[in-house]
Amino acid sequence: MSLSDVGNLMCLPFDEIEPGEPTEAHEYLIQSAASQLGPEGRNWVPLVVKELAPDQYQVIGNSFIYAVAAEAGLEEVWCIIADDAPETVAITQALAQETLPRTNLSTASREEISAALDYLMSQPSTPLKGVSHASLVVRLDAAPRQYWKNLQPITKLGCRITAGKKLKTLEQVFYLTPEPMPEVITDRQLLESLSTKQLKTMAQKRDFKGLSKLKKADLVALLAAA
Amino acid sequence: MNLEQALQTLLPNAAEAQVMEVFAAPFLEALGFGYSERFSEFPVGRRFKVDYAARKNINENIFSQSLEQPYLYMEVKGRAKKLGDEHHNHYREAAKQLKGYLLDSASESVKWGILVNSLHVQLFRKHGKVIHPETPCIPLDANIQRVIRDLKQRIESPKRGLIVTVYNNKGGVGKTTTTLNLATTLALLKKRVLIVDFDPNQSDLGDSLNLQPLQGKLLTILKSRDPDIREVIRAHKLQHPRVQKPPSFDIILADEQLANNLDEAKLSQQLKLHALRRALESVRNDYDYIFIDAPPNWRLFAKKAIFAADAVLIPARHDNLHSLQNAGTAITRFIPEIQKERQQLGESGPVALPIFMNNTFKPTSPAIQLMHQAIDKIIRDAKANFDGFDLKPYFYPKSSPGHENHKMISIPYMAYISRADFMHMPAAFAFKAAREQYLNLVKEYFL
Repeated sequence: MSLSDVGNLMCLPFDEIEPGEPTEAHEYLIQSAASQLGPEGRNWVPLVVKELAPDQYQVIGNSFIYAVAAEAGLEEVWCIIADDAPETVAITQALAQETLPRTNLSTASREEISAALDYLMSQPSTPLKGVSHASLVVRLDAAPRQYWKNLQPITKLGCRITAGKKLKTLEQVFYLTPEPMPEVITDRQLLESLSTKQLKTMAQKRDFKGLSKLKKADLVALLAAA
Repeated sequence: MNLEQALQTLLPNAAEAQVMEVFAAPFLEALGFGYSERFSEFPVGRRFKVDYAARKNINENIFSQSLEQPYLYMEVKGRAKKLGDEHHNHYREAAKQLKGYLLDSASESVKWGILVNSLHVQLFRKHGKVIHPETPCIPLDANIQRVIRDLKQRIESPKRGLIVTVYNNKGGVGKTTTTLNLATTLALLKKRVLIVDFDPNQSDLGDSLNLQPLQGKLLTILKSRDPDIREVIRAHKLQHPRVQKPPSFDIILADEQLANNLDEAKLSQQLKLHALRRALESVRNDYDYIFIDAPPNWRLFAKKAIFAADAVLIPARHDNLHSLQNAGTAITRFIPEIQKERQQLGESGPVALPIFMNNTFKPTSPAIQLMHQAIDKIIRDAKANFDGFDLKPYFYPKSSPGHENHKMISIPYMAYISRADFMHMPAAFAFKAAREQYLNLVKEYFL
């Protein structure tokens, strides 16, 4: 494989190019762009391709252009040749807005959370109707999310997020890289997110006596005070 | 090389690199930051580098080695960059660049920013997320030692409080509600807050907490040359049977005498423009935030309230065209008017914060679409009538060149907020849903 073409803008025969991830654009957009372009036209916005073998390429970005070129019947397409590193594919798709970027909820700042939720809620068919953006941002920001192993605890924040469609929507933009739980926890909010059983084991480990009659609130108070 | 020699060495059109090499170090030295207390090309986060960062050494923690907790940033420019003219593009760009560094999440410990090209210098103060000029652009000529002394004194004794005036010369946009709820939210975050009801004609603020206005005491203090404003400050606790440690803030109530007894012409002869600022200056170090609830007009009291401020927060309403227009007028005309007055006293400011929309609806609702059209017109008119003044960053703070973002800082319409008024309690204290809205607002503007 020759690396010399990487970074170049080249005019490649259409039949040497394989489609990559297909575009989900509406056929109206594809058809009208194709009729504007015509079979002799030039695609000034290039396809981004990687080289599979000599004279064989695959689309990694701007797959909308590929669909339009196919519809218009172009014989030659202008392409930028990219290298085949996975990061290249990822950044190309992000720049072409072909993937939904994801935010690390374990470490995200308030602004990042706010922007991600705002994006989700501004989608026309969002299942997050009736969820208060302000409340969710405040509560997510304050929650001990660095320890979360999955997004399930969001359902306990009292923000009308239920396990199911709403949580699935949040999973589209958030992922987690959890830290291990500390041995001794005194943070009240974190303690409250644990189950009574977990709290009891923790209290036993720290040599508290007379635990059997205590309710969850008492256990939290006991562990938080120490 | 000392500072005077450095200034003589520099050619009249010295480039940034030369100013950096010859002038920057002796300048910081003169401001009290020694060789091991400054660092050039200091990395700000992962993306930027500021020309110089500085901090006094604390015991063993040598700044130039640890590079931790910078206290001051300095952005150096070439002599050709016109920093002396605040309307010049050079100045605007340089100030924007410095603000970008100061607002980076890696700059939390930074309190001061300096913009300098060896001909002019300006000091900016950073208080949380608010950055405002502390001094005007000062020319560095024969009086350089005096300028250095002044800057050094300011940098070494930073003031604690930020004075924010809530103003719109249209009534009924929620100035009092906003003031009260912001103060409550900050008090809940354990900040020390003072609110000043400076609208003697309405005295709504005291009213919404069920407190009686003052009778003449504030007038005496404002007239006095050596005011002790502590006499009229009273603490207000937010009581609730289920809250064990009630949050509290301090309050200066409106003075009925200011409204009743004297006609305005006579009053303006007795009270100087800087009366309120001078009175508040003495308690500035006791508080993190001082909010002034200004009256809705552009007369005596409003002018004093704006004069006293470091930053002006302008609420507006989407369903009230005049409140939007007046917000624009305040930024293009009224605040610059006061800035000129302040400059004559060798001070700078106040700055306008982005406009905030009170009681908004969903962004898709027709009323909001109508509002955006109105705002576009206000922005266009300001550009045409005020020498290219760009109001866009004030209405749409998240927009940037190449990115239209019509998101505004806002509080949605909530029945809670007006209901709380009837209970003589701030909504941010009585209702969690309201508190969370104001918490976002506070984080957006201040923290």
